[in-house]
Amino acid sequence: MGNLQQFLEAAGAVLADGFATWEEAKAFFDFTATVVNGATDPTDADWTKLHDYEAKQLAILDAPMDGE
Amino acid sequence: MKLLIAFVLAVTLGACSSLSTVISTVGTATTVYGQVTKYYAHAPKSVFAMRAGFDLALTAAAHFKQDVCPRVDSQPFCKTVVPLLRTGAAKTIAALDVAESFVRTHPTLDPTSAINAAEAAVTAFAKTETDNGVPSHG
Repeated sequence: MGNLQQFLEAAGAVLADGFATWEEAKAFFDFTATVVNGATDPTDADWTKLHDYEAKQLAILDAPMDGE
Repeated sequence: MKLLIAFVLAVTLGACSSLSTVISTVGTATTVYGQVTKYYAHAPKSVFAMRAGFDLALTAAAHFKQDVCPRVDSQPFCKTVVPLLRTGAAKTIAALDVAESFVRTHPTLDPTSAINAAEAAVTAFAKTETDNGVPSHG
């Protein structure tokens, strides 16, 4: 299980190097690791939090480019 | 797994927020998460990890669009690549929704078919970028 945590931290560092949302990304990775390493199934709240993060990124991608 | 982490760092550290960064990040993330999901035999966690992996790739794509293609003419490829990212993301989310719904509704049934379809969609998302992107744009 520790390998996932290592990966998440490494991936977070990679994104932080290229992108400006380190704190948000780190929080997301920490959250993901906690859920996946947890003793129980993901809860409804966990799924909702995942969807909310995803929706935020999707909104950025889907927003029209200037001139589009 | 440690080798994969090293690979992630090797291919992306020091890179700017470029298309090549996105492609490397997406491709590596899906590869690693493909292994992670196999590592977790428990279906709900596998799908959760897979979806989180896609969200990592989606984050990279979103910031690529925000940073490299704020205008449709910011780069010659923006007009083509950004719509491809949007379409690929939508298809992947649809497949992930099916897998997620299955494992949350039937946590004890065999989820192989739904999970394989979702994994294929995530892989296709990365492949679409690789096939249509031009890494030298970075």
